[in-house]
Amino acid sequence: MRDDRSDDTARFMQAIAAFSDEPEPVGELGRKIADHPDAAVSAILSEIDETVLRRNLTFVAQSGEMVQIDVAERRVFRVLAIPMDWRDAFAPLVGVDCSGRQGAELMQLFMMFAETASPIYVSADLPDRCKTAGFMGVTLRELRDVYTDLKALSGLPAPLAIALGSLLSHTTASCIVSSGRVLHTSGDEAFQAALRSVCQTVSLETQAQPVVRLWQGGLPQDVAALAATSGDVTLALAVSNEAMISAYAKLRRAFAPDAGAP
Amino acid sequence: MRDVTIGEELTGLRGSLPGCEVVAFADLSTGMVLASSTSSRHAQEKLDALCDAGRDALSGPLAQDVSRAFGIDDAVVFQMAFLGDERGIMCFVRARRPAEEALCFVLSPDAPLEGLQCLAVAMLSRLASEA
Repeated sequence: MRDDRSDDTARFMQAIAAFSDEPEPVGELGRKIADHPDAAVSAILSEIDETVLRRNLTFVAQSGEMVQIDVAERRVFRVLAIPMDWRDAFAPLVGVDCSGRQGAELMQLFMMFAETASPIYVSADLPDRCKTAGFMGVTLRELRDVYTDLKALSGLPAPLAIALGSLLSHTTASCIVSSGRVLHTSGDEAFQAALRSVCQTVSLETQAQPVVRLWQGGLPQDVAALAATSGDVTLALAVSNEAMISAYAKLRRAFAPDAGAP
Repeated sequence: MRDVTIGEELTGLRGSLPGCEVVAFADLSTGMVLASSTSSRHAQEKLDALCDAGRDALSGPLAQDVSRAFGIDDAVVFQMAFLGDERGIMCFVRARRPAEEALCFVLSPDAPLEGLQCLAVAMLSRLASEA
């Protein structure tokens, strides 16, 4: 296909040009790929983009913390290791075969690592078992699409942004409003208008503490509507009936983190 | 064998839901609590307030605004509503229309919600058939 050929040509030309670049220094921690958080996420995605043959990519911070992923054909198949302190937050992601559904969580892991771990170094190793890569995994395109969505949440407090990011990929439609400004909308366009209206209405409800609501039954396409407000941030979601309970639980953890998790 | 009372049925339902502190069977049209089961003593005023919260959550002004936002003009559309904050979660499940009864739950903040709707709908159907 034309797009693939031009992409391959561009990569080939970049590879040719790279031969004339200064050799990148490789130290004990590996090859430095980013000095600042702003560049780190793009650098991580670039490493994935350049990994076609099966490799374990290990991203290491100066402090020794690391994220290790199993990559082939420019796709992430597994998260192999993360910092110990992050086990609770990213437990569902570690050691399991990834698919597009984990795109948001995976991107959040990279963003969090980039934020806390600059400068970042990378090294690549052959995996223990060189089995043929499967057809699953999270593609680079999926990661870049999610990154675009998550950057829209960058104005929110980090814990809220991280929690919301994992929620958004499992919704039929979503809308987030902060200080009257629409930060993010996604999904079914017909529902986006409804959710903007819900955000506006819910934000007028004055509550002493964050409140998370759900309404189910009788809505189009058998969706449930969820809404939550905390401070000047209001979020409204439309989710399938099958996903509404887990979505409600995630929303409560995002907006009322001290309330405990079901 | 004697028949099981509604109160005993509600107690059985509450026992099958981890973290459930209150189950009330209420008539939303009159705002009256018809029967209840609680893990600790609750004044009737609190149970009445729970019923009012259920009417508001399922069909009050905010619920009506939400349903209108989705293009639904019918003021009474929602079968279930949740309202949760750091103190806990209130869940309301109404019977199939034209019945006006509903089950109102108060759960602890970390109570799992899976299965609640199925159990509630089954009990409402049973209570309606016995009426």
